[in-house]
This record gives sequence, structure tokens and C-alpha cells, in this order.
Amino acid sequence: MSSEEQTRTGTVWRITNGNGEYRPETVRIDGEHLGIALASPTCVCTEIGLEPALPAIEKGLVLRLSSRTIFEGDDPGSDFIEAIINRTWLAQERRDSAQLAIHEALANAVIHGNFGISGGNATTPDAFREQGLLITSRLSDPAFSNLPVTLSAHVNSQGLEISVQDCGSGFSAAQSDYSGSDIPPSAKKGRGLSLMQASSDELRHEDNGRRVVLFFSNALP
Amino acid sequence: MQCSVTTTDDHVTITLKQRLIFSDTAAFSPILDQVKNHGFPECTVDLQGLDHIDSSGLRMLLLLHDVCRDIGANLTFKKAQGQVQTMLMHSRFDTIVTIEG
Repeated sequence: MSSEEQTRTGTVWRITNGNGEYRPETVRIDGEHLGIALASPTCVCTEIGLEPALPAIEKGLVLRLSSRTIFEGDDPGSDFIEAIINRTWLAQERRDSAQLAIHEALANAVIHGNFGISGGNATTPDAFREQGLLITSRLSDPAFSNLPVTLSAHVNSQGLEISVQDCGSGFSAAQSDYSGSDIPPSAKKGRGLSLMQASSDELRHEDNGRRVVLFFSNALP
Repeated sequence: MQCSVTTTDDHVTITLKQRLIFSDTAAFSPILDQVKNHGFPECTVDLQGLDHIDSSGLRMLLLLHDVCRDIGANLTFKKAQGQVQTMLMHSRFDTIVTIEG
């Protein structure tokens, strides 16, 4: 997180009446303000400068942030999960696991998706240092740091689905090394996907790996 | 990540606070270099103030383990609690690193 608080703004669309009409409003989305921005009746929240993530869906919540905001922010994924729990779309007992899953999904979306940095190479200190330099380079390049990540949540009769969408070149889950709880203690790659799988009831990849969908089956209707 | 490193002739203590996550990659690399270059025989990581760790943070600790192994140093994790302790146990780090309460 950056040492200086940076003001960030976004546009939220809130349901204004029972006819499904939406009213846009500019709000702060940095720090504690993001949780406030995501509170009901907000249905869509998009960081200023990014293409609006419309249309909204019934019993859904959408958050679109830049890669830089996610990287430097104070855990926006947790704010998103908290907003979902406050809407009673997810049982409180699932908070920790859902926050962990979304955090890992966001990290993957930013680092491996939008920044295009391979996940399997930083397994030695030298390679790790190079990865750190590359991340710093990507952050300073608006062509990468402004790329959006979109979180979408919606409830259906089976439960709650949360998707995390990036703009990267794609990913093949079949080529990953993760395998539930089989990952050895010394493994330096594949843990993120393994944690996501362990923290949700179902995980799948869509859009050539640019979108990960997590399903939680005990969501409240 | 908040990190402080204290040293004696034969011991380095790395104190981590707040979070150790994917955005700390660039900041953690110099710590690995410091441990490697000085060749301390004992290395302790104080995790008491660490609230949250993710898969990237686990990888950083594993890389520290590798550095210590390569220089023949003993590595110990101390005072992990809450989510951090859960992650270390879930990842079975106790089978490769000494973890003390």
C-alpha cells in the first residue's frame, strides 16, 4: 500500500426505485470509502477513467478497478465480500474463506493477467528479484497499471457466483500445477489456485482463463 | 508490509508486520539478499505482528528458507497467530521449517 493516502474516485450506480432505474453518483473509493461506496443499494461501482461496467444485473454487484488501485489498495476484495455479506448473499461463516479466494483471484488477475508476468518462474531468489523489478515497471506504465479488473457477484437459485475478469492473454488451468491439498510444502507455485479451490465450493475458468468463477453453495436467497 | 531487520554477529531477526502479500514482492527481495550476503548461521522470522499472508507471502517465506538452506543457516518462524498460523499449518510448513509459538 502506498505510504501516502491517495484519493481515488469512482462512479456508483444505485437502484433508485422498484422499477430498476439507476442513478449514477461520483464517490470516493479509496480506503474506507470503498466499503461505503459498495453498500446497498449500489449495484455497480467503476473507478473513474475506466469504461463503466454496465449493465447491472438483478441481485448483483459489480466492481471495476484499475490494476494499480488493486495493487496499492487496502484489500478491495475484502470490501467486496463484506458488501456481499451485508446483503445476506453469503453466510457470515464463509467470510474468511471467500475473502481469501477473492484476494488470490485479484492477485492473479493483476500480476499474471493484466501485467502479463508468468506465475511459474519466480522460484529462485534471483528470479524473484527480477519479478519484483518487472512488477515495479508495470506499475509505472499506464498501459498496464490502468488495465481494469472486474469483480461480479450474483445470486441464483443454487448459490452465489463471484467472477474476477482481467484483460490478459489468457491462462490454461490444465497446465497449472495445483491439485487441491496435494501441493507439497516446498512448492513455490500453484498455491494461489490451490487456495482458491479449497476456499470455494466450485472453481472454473472462462474466457480462455481471463475470468475465474468461484461458486459458494450456501448463499442465502 | 512493515519489516525490520536486526542483526548480531551470528543472528538475524526479521520482524514482519501487517500483511505479506503479492504487492510486497519488490520490497521483500532485498531481505533475501541481506540474509544471503551476510551468511548468518541463525535466522528468525518474528510473525507476531503479521495479520495476513497470501500465497505470494508463503512463497517469499519459502525463498527465505531456500536461502538459509543454501548458506547453512537455521531458520525459525516465531509467534505466528490467526490467519497466518492457519496458512502456515495448512501449507504444512511445520514439516520443513521450525515453527515456535
